[in-house]
Amino acid sequence: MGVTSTVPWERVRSAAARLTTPLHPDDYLSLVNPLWTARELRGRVERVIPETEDAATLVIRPGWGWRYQHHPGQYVGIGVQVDGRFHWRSYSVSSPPERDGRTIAITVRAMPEGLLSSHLVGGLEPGTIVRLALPEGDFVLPDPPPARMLFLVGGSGVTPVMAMLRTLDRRGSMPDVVLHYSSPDPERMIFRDELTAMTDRHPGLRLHELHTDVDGMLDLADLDGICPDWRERETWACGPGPMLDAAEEHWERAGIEDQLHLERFTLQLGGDGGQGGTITFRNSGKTIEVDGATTVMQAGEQAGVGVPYGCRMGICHTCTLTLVSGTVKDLRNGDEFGQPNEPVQTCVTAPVGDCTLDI
Amino acid sequence: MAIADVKEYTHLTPEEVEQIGRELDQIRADIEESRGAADAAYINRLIMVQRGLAAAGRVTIGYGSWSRRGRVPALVAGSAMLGLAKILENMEIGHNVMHGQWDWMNDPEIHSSNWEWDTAQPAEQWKHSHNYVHHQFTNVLGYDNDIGYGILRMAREQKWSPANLGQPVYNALLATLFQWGVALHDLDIERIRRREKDPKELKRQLRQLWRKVRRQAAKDYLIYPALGGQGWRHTIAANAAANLTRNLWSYVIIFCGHFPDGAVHFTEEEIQDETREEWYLRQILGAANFQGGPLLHILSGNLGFQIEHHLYPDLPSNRYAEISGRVRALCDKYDIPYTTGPLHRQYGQALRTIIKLSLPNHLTSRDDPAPPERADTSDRPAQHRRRRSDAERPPRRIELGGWSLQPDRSGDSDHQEV
Amino acid sequence: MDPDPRRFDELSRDAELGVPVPFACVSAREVDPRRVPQCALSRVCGICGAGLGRPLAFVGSPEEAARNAFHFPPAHLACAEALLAAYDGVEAAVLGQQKPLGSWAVVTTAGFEFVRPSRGQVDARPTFQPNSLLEERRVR
Repeated sequence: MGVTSTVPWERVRSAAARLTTPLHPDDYLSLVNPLWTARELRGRVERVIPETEDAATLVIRPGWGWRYQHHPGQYVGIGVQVDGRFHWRSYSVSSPPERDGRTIAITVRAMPEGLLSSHLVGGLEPGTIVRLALPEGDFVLPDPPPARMLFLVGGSGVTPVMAMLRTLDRRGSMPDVVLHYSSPDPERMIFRDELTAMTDRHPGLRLHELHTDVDGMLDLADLDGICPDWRERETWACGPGPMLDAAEEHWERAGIEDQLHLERFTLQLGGDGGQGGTITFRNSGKTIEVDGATTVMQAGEQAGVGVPYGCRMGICHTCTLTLVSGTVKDLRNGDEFGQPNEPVQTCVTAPVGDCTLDI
Repeated sequence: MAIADVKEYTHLTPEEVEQIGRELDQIRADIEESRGAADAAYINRLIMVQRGLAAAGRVTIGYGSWSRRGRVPALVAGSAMLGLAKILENMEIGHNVMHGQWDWMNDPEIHSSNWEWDTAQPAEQWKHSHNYVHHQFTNVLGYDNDIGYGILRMAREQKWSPANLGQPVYNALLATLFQWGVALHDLDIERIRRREKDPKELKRQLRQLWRKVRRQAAKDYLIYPALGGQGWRHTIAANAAANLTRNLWSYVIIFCGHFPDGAVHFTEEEIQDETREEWYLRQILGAANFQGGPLLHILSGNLGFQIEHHLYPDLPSNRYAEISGRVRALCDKYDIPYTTGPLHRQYGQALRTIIKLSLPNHLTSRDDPAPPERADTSDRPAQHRRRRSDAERPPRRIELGGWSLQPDRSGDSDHQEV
Repeated sequence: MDPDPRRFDELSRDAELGVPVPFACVSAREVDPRRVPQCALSRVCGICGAGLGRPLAFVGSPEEAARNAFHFPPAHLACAEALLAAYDGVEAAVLGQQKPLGSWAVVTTAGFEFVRPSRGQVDARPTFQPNSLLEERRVR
């Protein structure tokens, strides 16, 4: 399906549609090959490449209607049918925009109880047909790229940046790039080997690894030591919400917020935090004291409780648990929930005083 | 005789009605919770089969048009396949998808919002006249247009006029041209006749209708024949035969849904302040099932489970068979009439009614079902409910046999008999 | 009830509050109880009256969103957003709500169940229960 083609496909299609009305010709063609339809974008999973224990790259062959002109850093929607229903999520495209054997590659990190990510990493069979949404997103690399760049990434936020780096690598136009990459530990760091190889090939690329399990989270005050001229660089940051919030604040204080480009997959948790308190997880017997900006879900994970979750943005309600007693506050809008045995979404609420959850 | 209060007709106490509602809600909840991969596989497989049949039918008819050898078998087989494809698409797939039965899958290609079905009526108009008017006001005289479709007299309460004498003819015409009858249905001939229809809305609907009709008619009677070469006449005949097959079959199935004797009618009073439980009861009493094997049910869009469909119009149709066991048991428990029978008998009763009601009431006998009699309440005096005066009561029920005519009304031949 | 689809900008205006009156409403404050089942069953937008698209949007109070039971019929997402923008700043109990709302919830879904009121229910209105929730948002 070339962009330049001598056959006027649209005319052919609309003529054929008179034979298939009220259906489209694609509806019949897709009986022969599921990819032969542009009515709804689809793709076939060709390979699933494990990257780390909980992450994998899906190589997908898109069907008709797909445009390969995505910009590095954009994300694409994938819809997968699980138990009869289609579930959609957005993932960064990690393949560079050139057509590479007519496939696109998407890297997914499995969230332990995240319905779709676990399915994609562990359960998706090659040959499965998935639905796709065209790439979108403003987190894009300008062409030509700036002479000096800084990337701040955390966890699976490395993926859009990976697309950018691979593009620069392939074009041989890697300028002065500093990449600061936070990950819980070296084993869970996706693309680690590939990045190390890239730094060998390109003297301009410098990689800083931060293992947060051991060394704690990134403190932006250390930025001067990691990259002294950060104030003169265009910076792209992608990672968990709190990290991006901190970056936004840091750049604002330096008066250079225009140089910071953020990719948020997670919802903005603004508003005043709760006052914090001790959370008791009743059934497992664990307790933990947290501040008012830590969500109940984060608290549970820190305490070692298996808290269920899906989107982590307050949308899917997978994380809803029963608040036995106490009060929590929704960090998106300040609403408080304090009825005994009230169901609360743990990914967007933080404790206001001590509270107990039924898990 | 039309019912004004389901509770009274079925001799149910308010507590029993509430309990029935709860049990029906529970059935619903059970099915909703268990919708999953098997159901999704069912509809996807069905769509694949139907489209395959349509394509095969067209190709076979094309072959029959072009080649002289094996012409007749090819045309017959092709027409049969195409007719079958149209039947499946209209009844089991299109009608059900437009009810929203498969919206839960979040599949953009199988969704009530954009499904356009393979017949002359635009989906939007069908969703208004069928999903809303018919399913909300099921069998309520004066509201449900499906009681006769504006051209047939199907209830004794409907006023007789000499035009009704032609009813058997209209019925035959409707059967053969069923697709076009359905297409015009949402225009609401009744209201146009009474000059109640908004002319602007009518114009908009006619335009929408014309666009769909044009495409459908061109497909079957212009474009495919054009591709049929010298034998274009054969293509037209085969396509017309396929349409006729679909028309006759869907007409029969649809007429078995609410016209057998067991399906009763209701007055406007019933729907005032109707609760969910009463709505359930009206759906059970106003619909009629027919019996058959799994293949018959798929071919008839699972409308052999008309009662279950009316109770749960937006649950996946492949589950109706399973639901019917539980609904039947519930009806038996409370002595609620559950109308079912072999297909030929159900249709026979509908046909008999069409013929009978072409004549004024005093010339024919009633075929109302025996009113429900509850084993444990038949001796219970009616006085435990506040007695209503005759003016408040619904029209008196007439018993069969020697009671079928009020002795002092024999002169009123063209008044509505009560 | 006839179908009567109209473009959002062609909706009639409420005499008291000056805001557009949705298809399913008699006035900006009151919902027409006959239009509610019509929208549910015919699958048309409660705001403009035209056939629904995918996804559907439900508009209501945060409590309705938490209980997953809305009273206002389904709508196009664009119509829902336009309506809430038009009603921004209106300090009155509108669209069938019992009291003025500080913030609205907009929920998108692929499908819903239409639940008619039961006998003895305190709130005698039918409800819409989304069955394949896609997204929830707060407006204002």
